[in-house]
Amino acid sequence: MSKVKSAICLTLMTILIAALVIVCFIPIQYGRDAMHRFDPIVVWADRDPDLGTSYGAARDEDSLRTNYIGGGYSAVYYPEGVISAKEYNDNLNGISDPDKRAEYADKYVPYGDGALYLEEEVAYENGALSEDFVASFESAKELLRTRFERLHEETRVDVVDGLTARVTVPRDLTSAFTLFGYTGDFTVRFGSDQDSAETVLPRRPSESIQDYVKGARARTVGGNHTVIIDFTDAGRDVLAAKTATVAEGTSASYLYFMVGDNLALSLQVTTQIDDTRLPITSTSFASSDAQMAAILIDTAVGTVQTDLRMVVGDMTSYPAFYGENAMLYLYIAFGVLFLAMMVFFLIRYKLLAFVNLYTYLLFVCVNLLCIWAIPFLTLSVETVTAFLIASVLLCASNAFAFEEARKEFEHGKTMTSSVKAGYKKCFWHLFDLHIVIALLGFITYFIAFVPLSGFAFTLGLATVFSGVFTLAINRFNWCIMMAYCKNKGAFCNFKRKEVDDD
Amino acid sequence: MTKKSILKLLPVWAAVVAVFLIAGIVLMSILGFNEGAERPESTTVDVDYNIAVKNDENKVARVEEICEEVFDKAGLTVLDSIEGKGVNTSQDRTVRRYTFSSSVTSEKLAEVTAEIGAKFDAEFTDELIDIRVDYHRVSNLGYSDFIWRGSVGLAVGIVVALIYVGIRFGVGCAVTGLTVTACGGALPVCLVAITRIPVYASAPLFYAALGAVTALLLWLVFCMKLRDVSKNSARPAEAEEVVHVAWKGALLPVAVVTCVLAVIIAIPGAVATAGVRALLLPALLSVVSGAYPALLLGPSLHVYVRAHFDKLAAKRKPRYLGSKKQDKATKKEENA
Repeated sequence: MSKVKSAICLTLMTILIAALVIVCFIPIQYGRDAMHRFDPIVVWADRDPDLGTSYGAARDEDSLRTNYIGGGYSAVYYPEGVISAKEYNDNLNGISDPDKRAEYADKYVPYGDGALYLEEEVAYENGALSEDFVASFESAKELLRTRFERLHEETRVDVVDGLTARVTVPRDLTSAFTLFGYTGDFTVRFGSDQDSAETVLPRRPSESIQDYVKGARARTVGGNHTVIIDFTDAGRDVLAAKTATVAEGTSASYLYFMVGDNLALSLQVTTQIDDTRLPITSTSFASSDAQMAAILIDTAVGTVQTDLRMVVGDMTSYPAFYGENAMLYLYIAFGVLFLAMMVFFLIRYKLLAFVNLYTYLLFVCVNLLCIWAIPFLTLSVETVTAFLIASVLLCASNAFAFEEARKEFEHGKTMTSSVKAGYKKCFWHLFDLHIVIALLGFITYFIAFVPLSGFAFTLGLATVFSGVFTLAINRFNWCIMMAYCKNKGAFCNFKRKEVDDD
Repeated sequence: MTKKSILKLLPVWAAVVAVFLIAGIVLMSILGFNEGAERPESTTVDVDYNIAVKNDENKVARVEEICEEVFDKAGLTVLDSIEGKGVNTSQDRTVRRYTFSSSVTSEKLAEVTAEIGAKFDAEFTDELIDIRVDYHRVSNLGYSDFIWRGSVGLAVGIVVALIYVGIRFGVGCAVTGLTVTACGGALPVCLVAITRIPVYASAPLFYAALGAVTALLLWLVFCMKLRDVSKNSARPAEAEEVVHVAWKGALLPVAVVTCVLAVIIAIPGAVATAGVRALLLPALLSVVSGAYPALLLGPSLHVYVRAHFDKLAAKRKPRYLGSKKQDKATKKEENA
């Protein structure tokens, strides 16, 4: 490559890297208030709730108090007939009439350590805790766990005081607390309003809903979040018959999808429904809304069922699990490692370290842009670990290529042919190394759930970038940077092998 | 002991792995992991106060001081203390939750709760102030299927990656690689079970993945060296000799990569909050567990695997090579 071409390429590359580094890492204040501030990608990228700290729109000091900044939310579910000692005492103290007070006190029995009070009529049978009640609570607990784990794998479900369930979700998914507390049979009603609507599925109370409905799932197509309910042929026939009148324009009606007595979802019917697949979408649906509705319906159709009503108690928010400064410490650790890498390359390869620096900076920026752009990726301890492993792969590959070129140079070849021969020698080694790790990462991602899937995908993606960057970009950078040097060996800290003439 | 003899110690290396695997599996099935970081069983004392306390920093500090005094006096060790804020409640309430071991008796908890309550009543006489104290016994339901699904995902990933290794480096390398990677994945999980290090519920899977990746990476370095040695050797060499030369050549890069991986885990683990440290520092076991089979067990085993595949290859009828390749092979033999 000629010197002019090299100069142009080097300038363009420097501008590109500088621009990417600014966009990715450097905040710029160009006014006095928060409106006039440019936030880099690292601020906007989603973070694992466990890492805490503010991000995105929640970054401003004023909105920190109200917006979600990481951590978890929890709520306690009380089965029908079970109240907390707090509620019991509040209610008891609120009754002034001594007779009514005594009547209320008689109605409840303290349970376990006295943290709970049980309504004797509901939970007790012949003076002992009813087995049916306990069994219903067990089913309700399992149902809650299934629903929440499907919504977010890192949900934690605790049994508190033996007969209540405390659910902690690591994101702002508080609307799920009410929705997932719905228990009872799944029914489909059809009519002009919810109260007067006729139950159409199942046709008879003795029949199972599974004869008519297979399940539900959430899909996002073209930015629209949709709940798809899958019916059996029998279910489709019933719906087609019932909604035929709508097609004739005789009435405007709705389909109500109920779990117990609670409305899970409704759909205004404007044409006859004659398909086993019913997509329901709304412009007001967020992705999580569609997901929650689909999970609720799908689990209500499933095998684990209970009629025990679960009442949601007060919700509480908790700070990030790893502490507020966890992200900051990770940045510091990254800085230390980055410095160590630079020191090693500068000592071993002198100015060739800048070739590695250019490649590495591009690699970091591209990976960060991917974490920001890919919806299911977040900055977490797992993804940072995967990224660091891929960084090792990139730097080791660069060093390997440099060493191969050094060997060629030692034997008397020119620098250009040394680089060419060095890369030729190590190409398949590096290719194999990267392809195998990337395969492992991507295949694991496709099967595993969060948090392993985040680690696996980041590892796969970063390894692919590492491969491309070490085999193409690093070589290109080397080529354009070395074009000016008179003493190319000194630039790379390569020396000729001294040969004894004798 | 010569380096060559190290590769002859396959029974020793295999026995070491077997001991850890068996002990780990037994402990895992009987006791599970020490999910201390996750607190599967615990007792809590919840102190719930309203905005009249929350808005006054001194009062909040005094509430915490009283609680800690009572806990100290009762000889209770606080394992964890977090502050939660009420959501969607008419009253702006705050909950300070103190977590204790599950072995603390209900009587003890009732005693401290009553004492804290009495102290609050005596100290905070303002009518607007509302502080409640109660205690709970908590047991975690654990996670259901994501650990299994993650394990299956990892296993499938390893197998697919090793199919590629089989195509590029030969079936023998893939077979040994499968053993190495499986050991690399299983050993950290077993070590975590044996050492009873407190871990999060999902952490063993993460350690397994990290161990498998390390083992696979290091095994690939060995395979590359092995291929180079086989290519460069002028005459068909004994399996043991080839493996030994390759092992010797791979020793430095494998050691360097292992050290670098350990450093990149150790530094974020050291410069981190306690929670991150609890996740990352046990991950060093993964690096060690990945390096061990790639460095000792794998090469020792590969001596036998390669010898077996060499025998099979010798039995096979020679394939037609084509005149150019035949000439090249003849020349090579002549040069040798």
